[in-house]
Amino acid sequence: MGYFLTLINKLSQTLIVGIGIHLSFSLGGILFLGFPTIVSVSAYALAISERAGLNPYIALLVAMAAALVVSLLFAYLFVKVSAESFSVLGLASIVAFEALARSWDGVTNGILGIGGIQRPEIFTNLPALVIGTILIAMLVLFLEGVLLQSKFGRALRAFKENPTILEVLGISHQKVSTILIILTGLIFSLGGILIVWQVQFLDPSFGGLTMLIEILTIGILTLKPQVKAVVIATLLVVLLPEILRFTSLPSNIFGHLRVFLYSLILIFLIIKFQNKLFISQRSI
Amino acid sequence: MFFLQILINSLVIGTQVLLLAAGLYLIYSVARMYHIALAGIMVSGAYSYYSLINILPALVALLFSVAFTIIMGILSYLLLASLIERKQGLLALLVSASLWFALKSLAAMIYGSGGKFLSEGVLSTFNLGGPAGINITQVGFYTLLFGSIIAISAYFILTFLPIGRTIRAIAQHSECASLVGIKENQVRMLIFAIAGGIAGLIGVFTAMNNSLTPSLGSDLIIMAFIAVLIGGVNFKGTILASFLLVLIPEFIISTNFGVSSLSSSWKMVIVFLLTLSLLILKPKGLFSISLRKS
Repeated sequence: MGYFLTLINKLSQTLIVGIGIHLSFSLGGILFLGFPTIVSVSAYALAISERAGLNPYIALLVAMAAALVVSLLFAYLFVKVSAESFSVLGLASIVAFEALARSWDGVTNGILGIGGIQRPEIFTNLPALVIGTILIAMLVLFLEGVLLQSKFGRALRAFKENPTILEVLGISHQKVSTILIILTGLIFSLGGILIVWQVQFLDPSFGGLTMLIEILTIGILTLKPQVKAVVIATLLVVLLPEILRFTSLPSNIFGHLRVFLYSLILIFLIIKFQNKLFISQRSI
Repeated sequence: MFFLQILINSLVIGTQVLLLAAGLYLIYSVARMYHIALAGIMVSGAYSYYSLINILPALVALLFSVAFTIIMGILSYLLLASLIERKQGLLALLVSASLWFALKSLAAMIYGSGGKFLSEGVLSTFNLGGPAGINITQVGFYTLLFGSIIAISAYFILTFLPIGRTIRAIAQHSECASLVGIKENQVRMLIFAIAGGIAGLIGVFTAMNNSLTPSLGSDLIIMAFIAVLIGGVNFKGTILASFLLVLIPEFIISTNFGVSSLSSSWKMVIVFLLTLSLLILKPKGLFSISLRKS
């Protein structure tokens, strides 16, 4: 029973983070590789705030505020440098933040990590947390659906297709990209907080490569601006590797095998479906 | 003497960064993509050396490892060729990153995540003199030697030889280059092969100085990319930025500026903060050059 509850929780958490990558990459065309950094920053902000004596609700606000600050920084960087440079800087931020978390022993407890992270009272037990996470995931999914039908949603798709024409129509592409990065940063942060509330432990490896590859695969699979596409992609990405759990493979290679398989899937999908991944400019 | 030791250590690491950065820069010039899978190729080269060292002499094992990584460089180009031709730099970057992660996790599955050592016992060092005894490891010395030869050769080739002009032509305007009969695909494959070989060589040297793990090269490739970025995506800028990126954090960590001691694990944090500061001040890089408009 515990395994299934944990699996459902993971599905909901991954769905939330997947919505973030769906908005930023699949719809907006921004290859935001720094999202694990935002997840880690908000998780550590939550843990450190609770360690400092703040109650979980205030710690939640602090975590979201930290995510907002980091998202603003990424949004600024996106405007300043090229798209490829922004992506690799995102990767660099993952390495840098992990180094910071390992090194700053006094604040982050270094490689030993921070344990005993408290959940809010309404999520005291796992079933309550699972229900809460599902409800939050449904809410974020609903909000995404509303956003996609809105003026901003249309501007977002235009931003990916042709930012120049967007400018000609009087919509600042810098404004669209800034709002998008901040919005998705907050969504990523929410996902990270829910993950930390479940495991109640945090160390520098949190939010690293495995999350990056997993969520990017969702981003590549969800090419359409449809909410159901995210749900289907999340189900595939989370449930497929679970089959490996029932094989006789040693547990110490399970994590590496997951990353290996996701990487190969990503390579295959991008090479095979490269025409569909970026919408070619329509001729007027 | 203390600062001289920092300088020597920085020169060694800076050379490793420079060689990777040179590979990244050359690939970016001809293919307009950042081939960060060079980190995975680096790891593959180091692990192939680790596998061969027990059955072959060291030099032969090294040559085989470099040959292996040259082939990997070519294979990675063939994988990315369609994306490069369609100028899909972002998708090519994603494929390159996925390739890196795949190679890293494959190495972890085959060899385990634990550190391996390519040499037994304490590394032999050369004493460069002085009362405090400035030392450089044998591996560090060879890194500097090979690095200098490769860097000077690359500069000479790019500046004076026809193949260098060909590469620069493709970098500046690939369509015009193909119009005058330059075979872009062959030149790109050559660049990918050379970059792969250099990455393999650096992988072996880095693993000799530290322990060999699947994460080898993660920091180096990020620093190499940052060197290309803040160098303004030109060769001279890349050379200077490679050494600055190593020297400044080493200096800060070693001297501490009177604050409580910083361990070397702070290096990547300092590099990232330095990068952010420089990019805010000069988004196009410190030494960017503007191209002629055709």
